[in-house]
Parts: sequence; structure tokens; C-alpha cells
Amino acid sequence: MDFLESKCSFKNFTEELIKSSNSFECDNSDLNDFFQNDCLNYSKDLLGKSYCFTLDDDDTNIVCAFTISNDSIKVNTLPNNRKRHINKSIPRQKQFKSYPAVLIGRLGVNKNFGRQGIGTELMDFIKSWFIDKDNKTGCRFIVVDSYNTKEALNYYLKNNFHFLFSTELQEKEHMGLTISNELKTRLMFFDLINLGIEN
Amino acid sequence: MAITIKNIPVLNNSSAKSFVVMADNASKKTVVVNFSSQVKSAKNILEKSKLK
Ligand SMILES: CC(C)(COP(=O)(O)OP(=O)(O)OC[C@H]1O[C@@H](n2cnc3c(N)ncnc32)[C@H](O)[C@@H]1OP(=O)(O)O)[C@@H](O)C(=O)NCCC(=O)NCCS
Repeated sequence: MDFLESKCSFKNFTEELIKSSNSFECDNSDLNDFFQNDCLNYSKDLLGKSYCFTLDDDDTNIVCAFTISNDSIKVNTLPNNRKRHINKSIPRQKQFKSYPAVLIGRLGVNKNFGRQGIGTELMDFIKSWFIDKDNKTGCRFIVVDSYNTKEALNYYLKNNFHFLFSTELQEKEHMGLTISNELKTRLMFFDLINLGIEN
Repeated sequence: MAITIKNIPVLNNSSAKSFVVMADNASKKTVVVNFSSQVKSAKNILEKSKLK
């Protein structure tokens, strides 16, 4: 995390910050639109909080930004009707589970800083933030609904995320899309239990 | 307007089962990636930012 630690400052992504900064340009128009027009509404409605790193040498320069919210991965292993009577003995809590998770709603690196390892530093920072012993709530997974583009998927795979649905077809079915519909995003997760802190 | 942030959907059937197996196995595992230095850097970043 050398670059973010030594050359940048971590800040809330606020209206004042947007006004006093150069516009934040990533290589993705949806992401630019989100950080210019939508993210403050998510903050106001307490639906997602946005943060960024600015450059210390020129704090009008936003290097990277992300939006996070509380969510959970809920699983229902309740069998279908045909099998249900056989499984009456399985306690309800074993059929429904919910794992606390933090959802990355958006994440982007300024295009002038792309492909220099900053995205990976940012992800290491987010992972560290949520396994820190000072973290106020339990959080087992990081989940992201990644743009279904080569660069974004490569980025999350490189950072050891896995697909929540193993195939696009499964994900489309789950989202109620037909085969011919385009899947714009893919859900991916990272299991924070794989990270340890030595005392 | 940008694409709405989607909530995480409930997993059912085979995706639910394989997820639970994966999560249970990971909980039992003792070998973990040592993330101490990253956590230390994150603490320094937060200290400097005064956001906690
Ligand atoms: C995806 C993104 C966050 C990566 O940030 P970055 O700082 O360039 O990432 P890193 O330099 O740490 O690269 C990590 C890995 O990401 C992948 N990657 C990054 N840019 C890529 C590109 N243009 N094409 C293919 N793979 C790419 C590579 O696997 C790379 O590893 P490598 O350099 O060893 O091959 C950044 O390109 C971005 O903001 N893109 C637009 C928005 C977006 O897609 N956000 C993620 C979805 S919410």
C-alpha cells in the first residue's frame, strides 16, 4: 500500500470535496456518472457511503474512490417441495443462513493512475479495514457487483475474488434474465476469513 | 443515472449449497494469508486521515 500510504490522504467523498476537486475520471462512463451525480444521494439516504484518496501534492486530484454499504449473503438451502418432507428434521437455522458482508457498490481508479497497482492497494486497504480488530461489527465477506468487463473481472480475480454464481447462465436465471439478455454486472465475493493478523 | 447498486440476492438450491460448503471449509482452515503489514499500513492511513 506504499503509494496510498505515503503519497495520498483518505477522505470522505463529500459535496465540498467534489466542488474543490478536478472531476474524477475513470475509464467507465457509468462510474463517472455515479461519482458526479449519484453518490451524494446514496450518502444522504444512508444507502452507501463513498470515500476517496486524494494526492497529497495536489489535493484537487482524486486518485481512486469507492462506495460501500452493509449487506449480507443470505443462503436458503431449503429443498424444493418434492423433498421437503424428508428433511423436516433439519433445524430451520441450518436451512437459512446469513453471512454479514460489506458491499462495494462502486470502485474506480482515476484513469491517469491506472495499471500501476493502485487498484490492488485500494483493495488491500478495504480488506484490512474490515479485518482490523477495531472494526465495530463482524464482517465475513466483501461482495461486489462488478462491471462485466474484462478489465474489471480480471482486477477482482487478481485480488482473489470468486464468482457468486459459477456461470453467467446461472446468474442470468437467478436475476430473471433470458439467455439473450446482456448481463451487465457479475456478483463476486472475497472471504475475509482467509486473512490473518499476527500479534 | 448510473446503474443502481444491487443488493446481494438470496442464494438458493445448488448455489446455496456450494456456498455453505465453501464457507464451512474456509472456517475450518488454519492456514491463512498473513495480512499484518497491510493492516498496519491501513492503520497509518486512517491515523493520518483522522477518519476512524
Ligand atoms: C478495474 C480498475 C479498478 C483497476 O485498477 P488499477 O489501478 O488499474 O488496477 P491494478 O493496477 O492494481 O491492476 C490489477 C489487475 O487488474 C487487471 N486489469 C487492470 N486494468 C486492466 C485492463 N485495462 N485490462 C485487463 N485487465 C486489467 C489486471 O489483471 C491487473 O493485474 P496485472 O497488471 O498484473 O495484469 C480500474 O481499471 C478502473 O477503475 N476501471 C473502471 C471502473 C471499473 O471497472 N471498476 C470496477 C468495477 S466496480
